[in-house]
Amino acid sequence: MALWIFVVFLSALVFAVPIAVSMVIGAMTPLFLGGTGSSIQQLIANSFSGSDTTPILAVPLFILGGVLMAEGGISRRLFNFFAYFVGNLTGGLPCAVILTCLFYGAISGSGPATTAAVGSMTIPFLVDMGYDKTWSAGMVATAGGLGVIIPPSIPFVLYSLATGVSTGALFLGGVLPGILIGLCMMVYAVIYCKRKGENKERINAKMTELRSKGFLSLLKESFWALLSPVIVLGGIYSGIVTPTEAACISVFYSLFVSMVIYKSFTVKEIIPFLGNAVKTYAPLCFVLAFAIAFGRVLALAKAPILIENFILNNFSTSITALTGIVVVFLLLGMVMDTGPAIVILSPILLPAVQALGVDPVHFGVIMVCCLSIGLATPPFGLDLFVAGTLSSLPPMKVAMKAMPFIIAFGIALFIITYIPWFSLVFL
Amino acid sequence: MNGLKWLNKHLEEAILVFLLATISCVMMAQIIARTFFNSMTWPEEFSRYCYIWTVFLSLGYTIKKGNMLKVGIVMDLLPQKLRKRIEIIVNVIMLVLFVILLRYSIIYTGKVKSSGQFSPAMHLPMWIMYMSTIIGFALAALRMVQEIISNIRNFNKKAETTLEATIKEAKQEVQATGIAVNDNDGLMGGED
Repeated sequence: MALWIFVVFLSALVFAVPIAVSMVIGAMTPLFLGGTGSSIQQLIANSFSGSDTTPILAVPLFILGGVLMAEGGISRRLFNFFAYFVGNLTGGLPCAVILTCLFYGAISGSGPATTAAVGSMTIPFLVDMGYDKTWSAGMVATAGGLGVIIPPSIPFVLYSLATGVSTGALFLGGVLPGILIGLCMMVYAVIYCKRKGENKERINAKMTELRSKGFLSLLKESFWALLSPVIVLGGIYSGIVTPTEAACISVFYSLFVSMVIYKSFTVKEIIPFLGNAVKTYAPLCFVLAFAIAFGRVLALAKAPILIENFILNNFSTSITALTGIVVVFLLLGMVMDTGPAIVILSPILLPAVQALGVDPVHFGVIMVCCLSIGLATPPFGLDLFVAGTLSSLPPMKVAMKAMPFIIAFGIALFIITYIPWFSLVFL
Repeated sequence: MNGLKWLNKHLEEAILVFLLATISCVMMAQIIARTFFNSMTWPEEFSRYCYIWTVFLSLGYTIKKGNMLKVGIVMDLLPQKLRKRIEIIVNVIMLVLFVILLRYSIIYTGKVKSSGQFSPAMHLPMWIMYMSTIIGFALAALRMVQEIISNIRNFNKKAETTLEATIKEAKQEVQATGIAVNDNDGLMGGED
């Protein structure tokens, strides 16, 4: 029966039936075949009760907080702050861009939004400083994906909703892997700059200009943006607020910073931002609701046990099993959105890898890292297209120059997969 | 007539925006109340129910906006005519599905109503919450009918491939920051 459900579900996906609807059709398969499954009424009740939880509210709230904060023009402030420290070094400015992506992503939580905001400012700037345009675009496209790994991150919230693993633990688990990936990319950027050489004269002139502003004034400008992840994470780990409440606080903190401190918009202009947030999370809402109902049908059909047996029979160690899963995720990330992939697959696969001794938090980190590369890989990596649009270059050209960065990302990914320490050290 | 046109275009969107604003404010009020006064039980339940309405109304919204998440790579490879035909068949299947779901959500909501359930914190009758499934699937079916009509009308127009849809999405993403970009012309300069 479980096999039939998968066959029906996958064939629906192939015919471009929306993922949420494919799950409903898949969940109804046992009824058509006269087997035991949920009735349609149970299906409706399950998708209702699956949405009736407080943790799920963190999804729309974090997205809204990110949309509001992104309007505060903070990408330039963050970039100036990081450039102050590393701008003079070889490859320093590209590194500052990667650092900006890291932090900006933490605030916005969306890869394409990070690429757009950071890229719109830094690509022209890097070109002005004498760096190759396509290379700069490729770098921002890849680094934009870092945002979903550094907490607070929507994919981690989704993984937590689907598996019941603590959101706070996942957020902590994502910190070091995110930094590691950023480091690997920076190493490549520095090597590239050493080889190709840099226009030191222009860079030094800019740096002197920037340094003349003084560290304190730069800190003052970027302080409020830098504080945002600290407030959210600090609130969660000190136990003062739940992740959902932290998400709500991030909404009002972003409103406060954007309206009162940076004065980038007024009360009247809030509604379009709400509309933007709705546009981002609405497609996820019922994918989540139906995924929960679909998951219950799969559990009834004993699918998780079948998968567990399959993996245990074919892979003897967690290392080989994880390698297989990573490859599947990487391929999947190329054609499917991160959110649905996580909510559908994590509950099915987690029991199997847990049986092999993999920590649930570690597995969540691996999954999110794998799928987030998909944003920067052809054919449909949205980040590539955003970077291409920004720099008026064909996305596939950007993809070519992004390749070394993606490989750097991949190296970090394999380190993260094989050494659980990176994901679990803070727990 | 203009009112109807506006509703056709923005009905779900307007409600979703309103619900999002409500969830944010009520949750914030709850955090403040809990920190400085007494904890209340109703805001959490109220926010959850707002979210449930969001879930079922988002169906109609995403059909209307055409941004349901799907995997389009295989369909992109098919010839135009065949693709269009499959698209219409898929849409008709979806319409049938939503009508079935609508029928059963009416039955289920009726059951909840006759069972006389009340919500634990606010003591509201539960069937009011389950109304979201009826209205949600009804709107989804309606939007699907609109979609099928436009599919048939535009049968000879070229269908949008996943690639084109991605390009469009990327452009929107860039435009979303475009306004902010113009303000920040002086990159390293900043405001003094």
